[in-house]
Amino acid sequence: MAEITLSGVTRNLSKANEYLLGWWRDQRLSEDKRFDFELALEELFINAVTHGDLQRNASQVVQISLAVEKKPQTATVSMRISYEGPMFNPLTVATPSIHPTAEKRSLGGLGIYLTVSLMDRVDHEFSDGLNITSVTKTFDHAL
Amino acid sequence: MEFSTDQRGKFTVLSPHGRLGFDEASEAQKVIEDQVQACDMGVIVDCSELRFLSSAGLRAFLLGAKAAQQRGVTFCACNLDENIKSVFTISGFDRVVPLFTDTKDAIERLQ
Repeated sequence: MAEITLSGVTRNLSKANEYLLGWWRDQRLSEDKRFDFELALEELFINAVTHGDLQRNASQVVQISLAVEKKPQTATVSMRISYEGPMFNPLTVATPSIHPTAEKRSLGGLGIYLTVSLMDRVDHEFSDGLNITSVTKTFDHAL
Repeated sequence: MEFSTDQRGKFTVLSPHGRLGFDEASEAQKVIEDQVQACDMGVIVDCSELRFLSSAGLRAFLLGAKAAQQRGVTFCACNLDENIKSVFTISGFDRVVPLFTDTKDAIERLQ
């Protein structure tokens, strides 16, 4: 498992993305499969920083862990985002209503809705003061 | 984030390049709204060079659609790859921002 720990500030989103990109290439995974994890990383990282109110305290961090299990025809990638803060389960955020007109649309809850829709599995646990959200997806990948 | 613009008849074609996520959303929102205010009949966002779109990026599209509605002009998108298109369809934004195959298709069907 690969891990990086970053200060919980929004400007570190680009570092998180660079880390994911580097790890993905090191693992020789298909570039066209990275999009869903890039999206999940952004939504969960920004969620952690904003809902965890991490920017108030410079010592607050977000930890990102990445792992892959390769089989002859598939790869299963797992990503875990954890941070210390008040319990916040993004999976309890109300599903956004999909109104057809621009004026009635809002964006609340859309990030986690997209994440859940694009991943095979999303889990959240709160343990020892840590919010831990894990996402997993299996895709075609010939060794 | 880089944008290029092109005038096709009475439509402005706006092409964002690269990522449109949290870090780029504010700038993109301003560029889109400025183009909506300045256009003649409407703005077509050509997504052929757009590599990434998140919920923050969708906000720029939503505000563009709202501004276009207020001005009474068209706001749509075209040339979406599979990943970008899935973000639009899953979120239901394909009903807020009409999607077309390419700029030619958009102009023909909007005129």
